[in-house]
Amino acid sequence: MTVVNTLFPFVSSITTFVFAFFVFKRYRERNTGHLLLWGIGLIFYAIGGFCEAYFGAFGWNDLIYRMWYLFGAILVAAWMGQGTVYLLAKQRTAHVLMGLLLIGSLYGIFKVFSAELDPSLLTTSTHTGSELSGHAIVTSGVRSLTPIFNLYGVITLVGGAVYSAWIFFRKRVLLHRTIGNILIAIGAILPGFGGAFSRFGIPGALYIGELLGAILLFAGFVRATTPMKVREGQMVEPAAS
Amino acid sequence: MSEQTASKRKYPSFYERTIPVAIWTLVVIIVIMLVITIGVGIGYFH
Repeated sequence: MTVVNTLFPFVSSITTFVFAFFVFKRYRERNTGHLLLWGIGLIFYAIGGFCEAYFGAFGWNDLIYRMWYLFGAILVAAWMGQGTVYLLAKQRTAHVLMGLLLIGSLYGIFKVFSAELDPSLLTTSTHTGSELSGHAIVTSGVRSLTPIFNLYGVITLVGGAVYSAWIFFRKRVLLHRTIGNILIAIGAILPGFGGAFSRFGIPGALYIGELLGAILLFAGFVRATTPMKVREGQMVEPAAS
Repeated sequence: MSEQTASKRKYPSFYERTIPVAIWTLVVIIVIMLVITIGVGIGYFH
């Protein structure tokens, strides 16, 4: 048990649970679909973090591993990204993609919960089994799901946040939303960075990336939803012509 | 506010300098991550 493989994912989990609470609170006030999906995605993030912390503290558990792989490895990014799709795309397009995501998610649930597992294979990873990875899945066709879901997630969530930031910047309006979206984009990309470095053999990279990602996503959401007090004269108005 | 007027508004200078750099850096990183993920199968592959 180390700080990195127990405390870090535990803090990620708590952070995203609290974050989800605020997103669901805002959803109740505004009743917009994208907030509901972001909230659900954040609950997935929190479940993933909890499972990692559980594994770090208590070791292997079949159900915990399956839940981690389903929520933490496959679904989280895609469901959060789907929220952004509802925010930015036409409703008809968003509904179609939502239907595909639901079908894919149900298929993912079936594949993950019917997969054969071998915990001894975790030790074949670069971190000698101290951190969770997909290596324990024996059945084929399960691990190949993650890049599909996660590519959809990164394109929609990170791409959507960058696109939103660019739109606000181009119009020079709502500075807090420009900054908030940049923070959200960085936060959303950090777990992917962590995953990449983890595959290169850097211990703790995934969990650190997830923790920093959770913090930046939360900070970005707070920034984007809290108007900034720009001092008089700071915002340069067009010269009279 | 017309589009023309909007385009002449400016954020405070610090943000005018840093935001485009941040956005373009993110775009480059996204492209690299996508290429790596698709090409090598890491990053978003667990």
